[in-house]
Amino acid sequence: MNNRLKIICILFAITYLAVILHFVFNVVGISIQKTNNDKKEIAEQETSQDTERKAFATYVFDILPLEKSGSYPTISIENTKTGELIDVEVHQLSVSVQTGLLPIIGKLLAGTLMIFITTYIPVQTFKIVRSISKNVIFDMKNIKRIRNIGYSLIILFFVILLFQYLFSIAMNDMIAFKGYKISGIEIKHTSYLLFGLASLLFAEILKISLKMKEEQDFTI
Amino acid sequence: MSIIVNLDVMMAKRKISLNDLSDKVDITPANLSILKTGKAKAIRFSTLEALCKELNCQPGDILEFQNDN
Repeated sequence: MNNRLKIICILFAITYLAVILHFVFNVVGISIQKTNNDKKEIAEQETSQDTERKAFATYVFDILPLEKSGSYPTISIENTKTGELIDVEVHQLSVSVQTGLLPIIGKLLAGTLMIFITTYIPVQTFKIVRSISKNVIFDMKNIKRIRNIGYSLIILFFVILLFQYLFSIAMNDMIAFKGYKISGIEIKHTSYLLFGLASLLFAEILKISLKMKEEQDFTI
Repeated sequence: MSIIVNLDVMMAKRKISLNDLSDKVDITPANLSILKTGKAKAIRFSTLEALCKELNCQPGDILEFQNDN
């Protein structure tokens, strides 16, 4: 096997494992979301928000309590490294409620599909790599495999969206809070859609290449 | 495909086998077989020239256009 291909395969395996671990065990407790980096946006914010908020409007951190029973600060939190008090704002609140059987079934179905797809993709990738190592690159089977990976990623994206939508409908039917609305669809997993479309595009490019190769092979 | 390869007809007329022709025009028997069976997508001028020279014929004797309609 090509050395570069070997390195890419190893990197892919490590990244894939890390992503799976992240989703399954939620090992990463803190996520950093870069927002409002654009000066233009900051300038727009200045007009709408008070001056005190300008300082911390550059980065937004989501924090999780170290203990399960831990509570969230509502006004400020101390940075133990500098001793400085940092203002906080609660922009999302999680509420635990007892649900019926339907959301559980939906969750199980979505989870099963997710497990199936997360298993299906590495199996297909392994088959593609094995095929490439045998010097069979321009093959219709490989193109179909790449296309199937793309379709499964896109299906996964829409299943998650559908699940969130149905879940939010079910929740809105069951519960209501005065002064609050239950958040509906959160488009978090856009990377699935992006990689799915990229896979489909790659498959189409390979298909055209295969056609060109066939023409080249059959030119006597 | 509307282009018909009549190589087999010309070979029969000249009474030459596939292997003999492949040796003379310097094409592998496998490729010549592809051409003979009409599986080829294209033919190089150099190949056509060599075939015409060896079979003592015109390109029109080897290739024929048939309207599908």
